Amino acid sequence: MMRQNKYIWLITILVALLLPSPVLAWSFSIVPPEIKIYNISPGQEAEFNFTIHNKDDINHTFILTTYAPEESKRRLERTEFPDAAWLSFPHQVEVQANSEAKTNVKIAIPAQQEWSNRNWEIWLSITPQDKDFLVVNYYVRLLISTGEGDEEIEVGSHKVEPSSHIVLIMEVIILLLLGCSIYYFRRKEKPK
Amino acid sequence: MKIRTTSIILIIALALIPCLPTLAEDNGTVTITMLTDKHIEITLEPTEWNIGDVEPNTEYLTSPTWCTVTNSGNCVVDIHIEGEDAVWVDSPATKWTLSGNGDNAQSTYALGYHIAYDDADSYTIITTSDTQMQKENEDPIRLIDSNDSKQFGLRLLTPKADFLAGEVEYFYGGREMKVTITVSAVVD
Repeated sequence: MMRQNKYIWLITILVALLLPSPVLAWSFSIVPPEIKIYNISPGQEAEFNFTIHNKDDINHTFILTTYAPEESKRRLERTEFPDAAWLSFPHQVEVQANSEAKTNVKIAIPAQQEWSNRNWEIWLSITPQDKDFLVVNYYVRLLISTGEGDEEIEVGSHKVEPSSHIVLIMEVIILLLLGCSIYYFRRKEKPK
Repeated sequence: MKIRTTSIILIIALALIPCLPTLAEDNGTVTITMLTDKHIEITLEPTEWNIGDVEPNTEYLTSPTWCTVTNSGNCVVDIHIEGEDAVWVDSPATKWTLSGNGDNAQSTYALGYHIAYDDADSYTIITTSDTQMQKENEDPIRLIDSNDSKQFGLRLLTPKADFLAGEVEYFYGGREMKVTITVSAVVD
């Protein structure tokens, strides 16, 4: 009897507990599920918004990260995005109950010409901060091309301005060179 | 001679001005396209598996139709699954490592899923890597239409005992371990 009690005590005390946690209700959606960016050249920047719709009656915080899908998960002829740090976005977004929040994402491609004419793919992962045993996560596909691509429905285009100052500087340099040359030759022509 | 040199410089300068945009190479228009009438959404029912107390080196199974994943959006989605280490709620540094091959060990547990009506009658291991869910020898799960759904069950194999006393295997007692499995959707 004593031995039996000892066993019961050991089993009771020494098991690990997978206790139930309070059920967290969440329901949310993402618009759009895929974003294509074409003709972004090295040195350029672009930005877009996507929307997180919190359909629950309570506020939720969502965690945003990037995910590099392996080749079998990527679209045909898409390669891995070289550096997730080229994307900037808030890593945490709070969305009020029964509301939606627009989230801004910026892409900056470094100026090196080695990044020309590439077709990349990277995913944005959006998941609730509070988690049940099973948790839902959504991936937004980002298809980024530094060349031209096939277009579907164009809902927005972004004229990139930073190049205008480069053109202006080059124009000024050429005009200065021209002015200096004319001044130099005119001075030389003058009789001493 | 001097007039000729000046003229050449002037011609070169004038010829270069129209080429400046090309030299700068970044004055293009970036095109961003997105299907704003599409949204991605799935629902899981249920999201909790209350196992209660568990014993070492023991397998726990749900029914094969335990969880239903439903496409609540309006685009075709692929379903992925990923596990993570189980953590002690009171001290998250204390973990059960998720097995990468389906075998358990001391402080290593294993997870698996079984898609309902899978003839193979086996469990596919869940690891810390994101993997597309699929039946044995079949194409990955794809939820095509709105309200399209699939059912699956889970298997949890607890770690081997922390220590043995006499004939009894046991864990260090009274720990509440939290396990999370992430089910992801991505547009096809």
